Amino acid sequence: MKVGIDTNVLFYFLNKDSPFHEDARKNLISLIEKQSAVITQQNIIELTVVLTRRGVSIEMTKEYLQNFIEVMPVLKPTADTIKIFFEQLNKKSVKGVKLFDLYLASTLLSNGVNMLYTYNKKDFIGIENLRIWEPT
Amino acid sequence: MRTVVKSIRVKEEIWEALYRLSKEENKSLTQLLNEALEKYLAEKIRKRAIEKMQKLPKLSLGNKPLTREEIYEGRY
Repeated sequence: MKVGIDTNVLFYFLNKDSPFHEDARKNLISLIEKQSAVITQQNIIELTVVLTRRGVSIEMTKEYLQNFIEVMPVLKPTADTIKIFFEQLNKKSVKGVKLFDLYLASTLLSNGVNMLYTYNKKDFIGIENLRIWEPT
Repeated sequence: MRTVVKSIRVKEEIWEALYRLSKEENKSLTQLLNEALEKYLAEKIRKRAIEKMQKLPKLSLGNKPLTREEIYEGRY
């Protein structure tokens, strides 16, 4: 089974100061070894934003991203992504920054991935057909 | 693709399995070996990339949790 990886997991994997660091390292490596982990183009952009914003150089950021891309397939939005996005939007009252969560979920669902590994479970609750895995 | 005739020693059961598979899949031995080799090399490259990923220098970026608000708000 394929599991979508949220940006916070990638970030905590790299950030040794995070209380989730060891957990993210253990779980992500295990998913990659099982060839279950997938990321989306949106995750790559989001990680670029957060790393550079927290002071990591663009060269280093590119190196980290390149490495993630080598070990996990990168999903692209499909023709169904926007359809799913609008369907979910009609069912759920979402606005503002939460729309990006919905778009990430729609990209995963339109690629046949219905599980997401994240440390922000509440952001994705109520999205139809998406199961959330948040280690405790 | 150019083919060559070579003589190699293989265990009998491996030869039989290969021969059976070739018949079942309707693929030549060259094709089967090529596919197996491609899969083996891809796996080797993937394992090397995972090792490299584990060895990447860890970052020290504070213990503040990451939220989408941080990513998408106050961009300018």
